[in-house]
Amino acid sequence: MLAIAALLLYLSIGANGLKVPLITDNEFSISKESSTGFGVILIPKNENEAVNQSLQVLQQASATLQKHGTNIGILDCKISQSELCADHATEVLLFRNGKMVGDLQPDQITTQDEAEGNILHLLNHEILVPIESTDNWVSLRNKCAGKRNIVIAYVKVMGSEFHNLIVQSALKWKGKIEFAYGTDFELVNSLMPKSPKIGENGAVWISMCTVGLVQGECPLSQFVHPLKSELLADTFENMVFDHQLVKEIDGNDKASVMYNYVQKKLEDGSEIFLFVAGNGKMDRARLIANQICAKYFLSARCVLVNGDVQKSAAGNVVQKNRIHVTIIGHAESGKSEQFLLSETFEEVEEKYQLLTKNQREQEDNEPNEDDSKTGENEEENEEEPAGVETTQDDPVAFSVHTSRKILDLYLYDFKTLPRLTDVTYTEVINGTEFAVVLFTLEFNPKSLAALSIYSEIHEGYTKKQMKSPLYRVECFDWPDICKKEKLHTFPRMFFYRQNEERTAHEYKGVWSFNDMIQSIHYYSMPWPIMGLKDKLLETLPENTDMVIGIVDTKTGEEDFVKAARYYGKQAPFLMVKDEDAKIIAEADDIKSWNGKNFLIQNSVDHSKRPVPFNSFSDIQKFIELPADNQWNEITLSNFNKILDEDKPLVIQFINQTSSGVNKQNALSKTLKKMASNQEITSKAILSWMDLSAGSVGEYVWYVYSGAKSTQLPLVFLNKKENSVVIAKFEKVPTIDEVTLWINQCLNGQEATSFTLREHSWKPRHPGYDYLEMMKKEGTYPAAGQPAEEEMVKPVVKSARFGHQTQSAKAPQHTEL
Amino acid sequence: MNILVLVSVLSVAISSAWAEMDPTDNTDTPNFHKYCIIGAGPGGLQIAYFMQHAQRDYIVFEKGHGAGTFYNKYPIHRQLISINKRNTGKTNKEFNMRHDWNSLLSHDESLQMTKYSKVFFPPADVLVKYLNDYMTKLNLNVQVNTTISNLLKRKDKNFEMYDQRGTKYTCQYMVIATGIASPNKPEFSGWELSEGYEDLSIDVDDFEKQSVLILGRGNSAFETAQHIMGSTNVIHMMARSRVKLSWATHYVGDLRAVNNGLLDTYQLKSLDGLFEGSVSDIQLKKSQIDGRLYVDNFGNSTIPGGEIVGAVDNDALREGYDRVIRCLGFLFDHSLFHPSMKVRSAGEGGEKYPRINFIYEAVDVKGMFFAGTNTHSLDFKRSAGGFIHGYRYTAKSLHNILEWRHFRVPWPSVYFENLQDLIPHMHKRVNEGSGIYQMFGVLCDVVIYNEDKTAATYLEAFPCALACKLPKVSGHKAPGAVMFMVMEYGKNFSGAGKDTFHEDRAQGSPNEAHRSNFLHPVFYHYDKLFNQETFIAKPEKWVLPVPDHIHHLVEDFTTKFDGMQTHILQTRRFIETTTGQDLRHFYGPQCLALALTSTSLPYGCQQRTDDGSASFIDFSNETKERFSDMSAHLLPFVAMLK
Repeated sequence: MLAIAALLLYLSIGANGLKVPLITDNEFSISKESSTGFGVILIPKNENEAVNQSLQVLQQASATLQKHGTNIGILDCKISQSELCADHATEVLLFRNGKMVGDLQPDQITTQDEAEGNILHLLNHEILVPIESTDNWVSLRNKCAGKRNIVIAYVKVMGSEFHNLIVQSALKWKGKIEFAYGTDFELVNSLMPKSPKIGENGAVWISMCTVGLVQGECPLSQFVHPLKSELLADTFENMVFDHQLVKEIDGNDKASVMYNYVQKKLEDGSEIFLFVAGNGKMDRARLIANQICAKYFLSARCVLVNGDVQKSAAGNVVQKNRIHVTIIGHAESGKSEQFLLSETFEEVEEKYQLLTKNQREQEDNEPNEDDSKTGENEEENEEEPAGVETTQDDPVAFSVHTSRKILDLYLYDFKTLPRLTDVTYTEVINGTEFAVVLFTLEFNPKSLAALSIYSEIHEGYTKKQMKSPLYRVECFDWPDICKKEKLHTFPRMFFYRQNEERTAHEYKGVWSFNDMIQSIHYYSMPWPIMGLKDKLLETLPENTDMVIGIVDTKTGEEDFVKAARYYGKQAPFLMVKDEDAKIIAEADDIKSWNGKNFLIQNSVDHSKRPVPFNSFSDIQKFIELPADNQWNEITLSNFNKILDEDKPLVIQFINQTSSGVNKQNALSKTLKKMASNQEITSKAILSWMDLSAGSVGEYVWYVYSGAKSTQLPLVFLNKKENSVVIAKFEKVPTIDEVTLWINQCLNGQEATSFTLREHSWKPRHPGYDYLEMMKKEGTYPAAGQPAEEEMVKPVVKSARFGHQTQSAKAPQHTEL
Repeated sequence: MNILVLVSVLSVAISSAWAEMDPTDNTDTPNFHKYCIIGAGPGGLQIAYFMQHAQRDYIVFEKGHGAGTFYNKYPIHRQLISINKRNTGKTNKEFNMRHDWNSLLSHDESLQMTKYSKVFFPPADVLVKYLNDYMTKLNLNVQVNTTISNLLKRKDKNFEMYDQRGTKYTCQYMVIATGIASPNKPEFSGWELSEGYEDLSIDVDDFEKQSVLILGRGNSAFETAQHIMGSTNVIHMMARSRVKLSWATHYVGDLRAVNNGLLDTYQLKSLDGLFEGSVSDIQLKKSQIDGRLYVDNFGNSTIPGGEIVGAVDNDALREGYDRVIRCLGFLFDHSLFHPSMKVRSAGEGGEKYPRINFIYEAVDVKGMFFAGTNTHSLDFKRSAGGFIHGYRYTAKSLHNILEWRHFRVPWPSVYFENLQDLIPHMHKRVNEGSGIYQMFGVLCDVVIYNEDKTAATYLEAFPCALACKLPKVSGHKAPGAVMFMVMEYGKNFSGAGKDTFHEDRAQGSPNEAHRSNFLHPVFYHYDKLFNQETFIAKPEKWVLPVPDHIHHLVEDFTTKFDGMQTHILQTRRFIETTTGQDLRHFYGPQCLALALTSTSLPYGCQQRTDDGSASFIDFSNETKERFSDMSAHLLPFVAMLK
């Protein structure tokens, strides 16, 4: 009864002009036509205590709602003749343009924020794009690319204070910033940058779509500060006016332009990456700057200055062929500037991470009154004393130790890949079937990485429903097998040929899928191969050097087998006869074959000409003959050997998917011809690298050129001089032109485009020493002094006899 | 005088002269062997196995009719207390030896006690059968029914000895493996009224309604109490020191839980009890009134029918006993030596053992070595060298030492050209090595670096106490830095009265690894091998001198130290710190990229492994995917894959 009394009191006040008035049916009919929305709360005919609470909340929320053009009224169903009263209980019904767009139950408007958020959201649903699928997100991103920036919110609880904040912001920046929201954490998590930080209420990401798509994405970054209205408001405001990640200042700009821009951004709270590009480095610096600021645009802006221009804004600090980067902390942080020479995105990022980490650490070390009261800070510090570095910086260890699949494979999964025991191992190696045995050790990351490749090869067999010849011995499970085989390093792989005397042939190649599978195929064939069937032709290793002997006579066969026995360790030998000879000859397109004894080299480039043979010494000469053609792809398998030759390298970068493929092929043809010329090959090694996306060649070319596009990427690498010269051929050069260019490079007449880096890889993380920690703890022992506890020895007294005992001591150390 | 008489006279004369000669002057070498091993118990058989395997000239003399005759009688209640753990869930045989305490080492897998009995504490008879099988299956050169005496060392440095038949044997070196088999019978006043463990009846009916005093507090004493407590009125137990529980001291010679029933009946107020006292301080007397035995403390007689009434009227022993049993352990039996052989006992608590140095050689008799439980003076109360699961490894150490000293065969080792391969091997050893596990704090694995610390030689289970003599003992030079890996409990974790079950007893974080309590590996790195003076001056409780760098692998509940972050990564950091090398592994594409863009390559891109292949590796689909998740700032060529 008290609640009803209060309600009556409230109705009387409302009727006297307060913000939530009692309205008539007629007034309601007019109000619901509002284009900015109208809400009505129904007072039911029957007594209802919940309505009082809802009314009070609506009273508080009405001022905010009115700012957005939304009014609320009360419809008393005891008086009203509206049909709504018959169909609804105590509810807030929301109308726009005469149509009901939503309804809220009392439990959805229990607080002012909840009421504001839910009402505005329902009335303005078009201002907040729901993200309910990947397509929603992609569609929104594409729609906004180059036009508007996007705020994406993960809202844990609809109607929460945070939800209301997002709704209000969306209303405020309507038409200027796109707002989207999601409530499905799994979905949002999968779309946003990895490892997002989710707060109590949700999370916010900013997508800088006004700069367009960078590598297929609008730059996207999480707002990592507390989700407070004032902080978000500042960010949203900046988003409206900021449409560039990198401010470029060329020669025509005054230095003051740069300083003004930098000053403004610093005042706005941004940090500045100032790039000064040396000779020929502008493209590359732009690329790095874009990458950096696409990642850190929430806290930083980039300024790019062309250092080639005399009296540039950056002064004369720039060195030839280098990029200077200065990270400038904003005024509030008061952090010092940091300069570095940089070549890659990663280096800049690393420095930035270091700088911000240092800042964080300094901030963490500053005493916090709240922490000292609760002692929480001390506890945290105790949990993580300085010294022990637990960050994994070994890429192989990282990838194998964080892979569930590999972890299962070496610890738990005994089904996928057959594991041999001491008994089955003996059976396999003494059997007659072709077998491959990989020895692994679980503590060795490299061996687990090899196991992963090996397992993929094995899967290839099982997918084809072929019996896999692959087996594995884990040396921690069966150490006696490995001890017997004298294996102490891992991985190791051995082949046992079919029906052959069971000699173990050890794999000596590079641990790569291609090299391993080729060896497996090779050893799977009988030895020496006396008859070649179509099936074997298919499995003939394509990229392995192999001496193929087409034999016609008995003596030819004997000579070839003899050579195979003699040189078999250097290269595989394959002997074919009769019909098989024709297959091979046709497959290898040997026009000069006369049906007699013949030698062919099966390899990547068939660099030796096929020749006939009549004796063992002919075969010997063929094997020892240097390759005719020395134009090779630089691969994992050969790069050490190539670089060991200590000659300059000419590398053509080939991208078969690029538009200039014809030109590239023409250049390849030229270089291939040159590779047969001993005069050229005595001076430099001619080679090529794959330039397709994600390849090593792409990376190397990127480092050499700063991703500068050219249709004929060709470089001269002189490891002795640490220099790289990029060729500047506009059209396909002739042999003479390339020869001239090589000679000029050799004579130092071509300008260096890139100098090999001295700081070539990221240093390992620092180590630590428990002795130092013990010193700090005071548990470090002084030589010859007993440990603290030992100084007071326990004296045992007998209850009856009062006898004292001494503990036994070990004998003293004595001379041998 | 006929010829016969003449010969007879001459013979007597020669014999007399011979008898008067100093036997150490002898130079003849009948029945010569390079090594003579006395005793075909587990210690003797173990060293014989290694010698047989190395094809050395050796013989084992055994006085009994077969191997392991000590165990025909002892323990008298016939239950071994060394565990026979048949199942570990692991197939690693070396690892499984960590939990098989009764087997000897051999290549023959049928010779494992776990295959002889399913009982966790097997009957002693099974061990006897096992030892005899070991002897015969491995075809060891054991001469049974041969009681050796008058063993002496001659001036020509050979040893000579006789059997009970008068047959003379000569040997260049001796290995004494007679165990500690002579019952300890201290002569206190009235000792003849007591009976020894060695002669004790095992028929429980003989103890029916009897009050028993047991002298001694070792496992034989508790084993006896356990056996008879169902029949007795009361059992009191007296010894010099407080009871030490093996779970607290981590010494298996202290009271094992399997025998500790008397602790229950004492503290659960059921008449039995323990008290402290020295045997040498008591007088045992038989009362003329009731015929029972009373312990008379000097000046405080409690004996009924005695001359006085003692001042103490609440003496714990005043009710007397029907039996007093000596369970005072065993001593090394010196009787096999000729009087000319002065083999002293080890001092200060190790009196029952012969005095030997750390190469298991008698301090007083060069060339005479010891194997088996009689070497326990070296680790008495500290490790397991007095028990099969410990001395099977010290016997191996002895063999390795002799191989280098006598045949210039260096200590078995593995050479690592690439330090990246060393770390997984260390982890393999940490996780399976049985010798360093059983003989914790006594046997160390050793890493000897080359001068520039780019390669290393790895030695297994080397006596830590010989570390300062590493090159001399092992045959491996130590040109620079060395590292020792030792299994240790926390330095203040073990000891009588320690609460080993206290809260927070285990550490889980590598940050706290140096505070680990349970058995865990500790790496001691020295930039240069220390000398003997430094070793002697090491802090108490330290296995080795304070090193230049130390590293603990944090203890692990499973005793498997295979945590990727907590164990393996930390070991690499330590080895990197101490060698100055970058021991990360790189993927081939990274190496190729670096080779073409940098002036030098990281270690992980330029090394070769034993099989001759490159130290880097290519991606699989799986590793490529995982790799691309790495933080870009750590390594090159990550961003390109994204």
